[in-house]
Amino acid sequence: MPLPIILSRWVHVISACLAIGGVFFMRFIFSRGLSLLDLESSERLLRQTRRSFKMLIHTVILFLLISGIYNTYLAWDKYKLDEAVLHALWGTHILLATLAFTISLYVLAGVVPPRSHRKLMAVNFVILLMAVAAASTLKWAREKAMAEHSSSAAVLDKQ
Amino acid sequence: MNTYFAHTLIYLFSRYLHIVCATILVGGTLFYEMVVPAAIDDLTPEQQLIVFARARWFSKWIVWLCSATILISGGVSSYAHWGDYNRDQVYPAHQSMDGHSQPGQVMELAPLARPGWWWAAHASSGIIAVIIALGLTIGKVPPNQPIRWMRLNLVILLVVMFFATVTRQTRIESGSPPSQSVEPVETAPR
Repeated sequence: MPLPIILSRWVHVISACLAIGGVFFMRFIFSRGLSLLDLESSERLLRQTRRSFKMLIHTVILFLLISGIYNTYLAWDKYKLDEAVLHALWGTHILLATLAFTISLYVLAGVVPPRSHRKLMAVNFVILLMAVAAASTLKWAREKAMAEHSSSAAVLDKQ
Repeated sequence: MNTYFAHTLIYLFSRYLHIVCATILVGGTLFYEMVVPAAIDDLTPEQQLIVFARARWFSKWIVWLCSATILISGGVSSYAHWGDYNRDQVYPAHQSMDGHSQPGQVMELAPLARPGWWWAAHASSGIIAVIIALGLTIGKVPPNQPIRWMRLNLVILLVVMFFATVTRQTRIESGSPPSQSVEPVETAPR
């Protein structure tokens, strides 16, 4: 069994889980809990949570970049089987992920959050979901291209 | 509607839902286990309880919805790959580097290379993780030591995801029977 391939994909999926789930709970669930506190305590707690969450997100982005580059390097030959579809999906996934990273880094930069941080976090959650959709479809299209390629190779071998 | 198109759409959508719900469960567990306790350390015990109780009430519905979706979408994906999981033979498409396998030759799968076993490990450990997640949200009062339970569940969820990754890898490596791969348009979506 190719352990490096399995481990790199595992790290990529875990990092994505932590990023998406963290953004969702930070924006939609935890903010409900904060709303019951007085304004001063609520703002202090938000700043402290942001600090912990920033450490998590920065680490997650690093792991996503490293494992993503390695996964792309491993699968690059397969992307040549159906360049039009696979490169379009791969490019969409990379573009959305870059956008999500940029928004995350901007929202979590500095001690005080930007004024539009709630809206930006919600937008970021939607972008992350779209990045997952692109990755999921890319994986399916890649496996389909490989299956079709191997079947045509088998037919040629028989001839 | 074309049957293949409908199957593909259902399969893709269910996989997407499976991943999204898993991200929310894993990310949410880590968020409550690592981020929140460190942040609320300075609050009074009453304020800590208020924050936790309110967030727990909202996350309860999320956890129940995600658990149900994960079980249903997991069932759909398992159905789509059931043939691969029940196979104990490998169908190499190309000659191997060492020359032991030839295209079209049927070979016995090694126990660790059987996707069915890894699928069983993934499904059973996944069900345990879902039960723990539901147990943490049932009732008006959280169980004793909820953070420890969340820490345990986070480790189980990471193991579940490792089993899922290995299942996929062994499924792809074991290949498809020649009768299935000659006309991929007529087969279940891969």
